[in-house]
Amino acid sequence: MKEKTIERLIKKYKEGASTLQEEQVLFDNSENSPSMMDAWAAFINQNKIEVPRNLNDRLWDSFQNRTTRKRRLKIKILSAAASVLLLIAFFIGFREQKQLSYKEKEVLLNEALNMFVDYEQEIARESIIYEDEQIIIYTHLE
Amino acid sequence: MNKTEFKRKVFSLSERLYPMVSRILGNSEHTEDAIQEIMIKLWIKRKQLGQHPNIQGFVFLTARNHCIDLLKKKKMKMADSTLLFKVLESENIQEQLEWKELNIIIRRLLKKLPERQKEVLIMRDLDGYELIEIAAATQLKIEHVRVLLSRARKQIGKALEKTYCYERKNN
Repeated sequence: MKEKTIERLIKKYKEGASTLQEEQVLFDNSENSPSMMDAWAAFINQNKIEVPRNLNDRLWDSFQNRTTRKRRLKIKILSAAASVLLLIAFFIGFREQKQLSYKEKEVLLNEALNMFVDYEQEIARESIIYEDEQIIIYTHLE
Repeated sequence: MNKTEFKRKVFSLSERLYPMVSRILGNSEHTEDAIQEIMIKLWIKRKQLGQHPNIQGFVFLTARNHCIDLLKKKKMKMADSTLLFKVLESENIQEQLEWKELNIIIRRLLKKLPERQKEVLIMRDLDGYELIEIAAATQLKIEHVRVLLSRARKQIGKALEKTYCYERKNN
């Protein structure tokens, strides 16, 4: 490469105005450049980080796995939560069914009370008004 | 943004991010994991990302911030891990020593540079990023990046010249 071209490129390079391609030309032809450029180019060529092959494709595969697995996990958690809710709903519904309304309670209570009516009347008909060791005096309703 | 679009516009930048992520983290072991995490972060944000005017810039910025967060978590210093130096292999021992020396000299010179200048110079000359990508990652204006780059290159150039003049005189 012509010295002039290199010189021009180095000037551009130092101003930060060169393109990546121009810089590559500069680094690849460093043996024709001043020694400081040669040293810098050698350093750069040695310390470049190489991108592993097929990185995009490899990463994409595991990315796919991770994102779909996450979605699957989400679905699992959601369905678990839904079934718990369903169970709770059932339980509450069942308990409510067990509890009777006021009207039903009243009917039942009245029925129970009615069972005692005869007995009470019996007592009323034959109640003891006096009692000692020898005699017992009953009242008797006619 | 759907998955195909995400793959084309965002995920395809993984390879492009590799040098920067690797260099900031200071090793290549965790680089792929870190890129994966960055991509998942971006995937979660895909709705906002779809409307972003500069998707590539946003990806670069997210990647750099993620790496810096990782370093903070591990309490590692970025300054010490910005540069990843390979052991140079050469058949000739004399040559090998020269390489080693060169590496040490340049590493020392880079350390002397202001943090911003050093980062911009490394991103450009070693990692081969466009100025617009560097600007996005560092959140600087392109013109500012260019100025930093120019200053860093001149500084390194001057220092190397000095070293080599000194060597020539001694020889």
